Amino acid sequence: MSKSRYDLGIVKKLVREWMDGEDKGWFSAPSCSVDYVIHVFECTQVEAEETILVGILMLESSNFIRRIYVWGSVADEYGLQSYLGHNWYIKFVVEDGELEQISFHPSEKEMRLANGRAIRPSIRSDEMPPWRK
Amino acid sequence: MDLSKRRCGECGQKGYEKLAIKGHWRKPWKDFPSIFLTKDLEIWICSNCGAYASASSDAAKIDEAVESSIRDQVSQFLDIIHSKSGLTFEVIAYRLGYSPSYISTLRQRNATPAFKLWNQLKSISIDPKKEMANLDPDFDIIENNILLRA
Repeated sequence: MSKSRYDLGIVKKLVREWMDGEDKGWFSAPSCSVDYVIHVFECTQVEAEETILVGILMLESSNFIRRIYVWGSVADEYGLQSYLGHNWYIKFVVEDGELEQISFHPSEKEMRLANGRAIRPSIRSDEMPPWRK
Repeated sequence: MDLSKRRCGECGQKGYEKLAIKGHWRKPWKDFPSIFLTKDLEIWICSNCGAYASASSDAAKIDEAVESSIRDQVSQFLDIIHSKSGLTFEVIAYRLGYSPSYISTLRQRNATPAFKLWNQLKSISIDPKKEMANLDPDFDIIENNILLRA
């Protein structure tokens, strides 16, 4: 499947509302998102979540990788290049008008976007958090 | 946001509980690889795997609880070191390699130290008299037979 399940415009609207303090999203797997970003930048929870939300706002349709099933839901996968010194693997679901952010971490292996472009891994195995090794 | 019926992204099982957690929390924060909460933190915890979830308003609460716990612990570590070693805070600062004003700021809970200093103070607090003696820059490393090749 080479078309995203969720409209990026709607996803970004949810992110903006989330950043404005509305209950529009949540991190369902912090070890793959918030905690990973904290590990990389040695930052606070608020800073890590802001980093992720700003990163999602930077996504374009050309960053789309594929749809994937996660625990019975359809998630969209994206690859974001050169944001804060890393390439990022991103995965989310939109359900009941809320964004469930599942993954947002430096790419650990080469990613292939739907348009054929390859994105290189941007973290070495010895830089990964202990829970990913 | 009510996560009670949501599916955990870590284990795939449904169901979170809002729990007040305290004590060891295997979660990074700034340069701390893991944290110890001495303040209660109410947060969504997966009923199956124990992983936490962060909803829209939780991040600031997490930062506040973690930072407040670390500052409180460091202040207590310094008081323990002072009372058990009999050293002044100026001497403690000198032996640790920090300015007296920074140590005073930490005592007053007005700054959050790096993990390295927090961990050092924690370790010293176990046996302050012995550890502070070892940290004395005038400690004779030859007389105490530390070097392999003198």
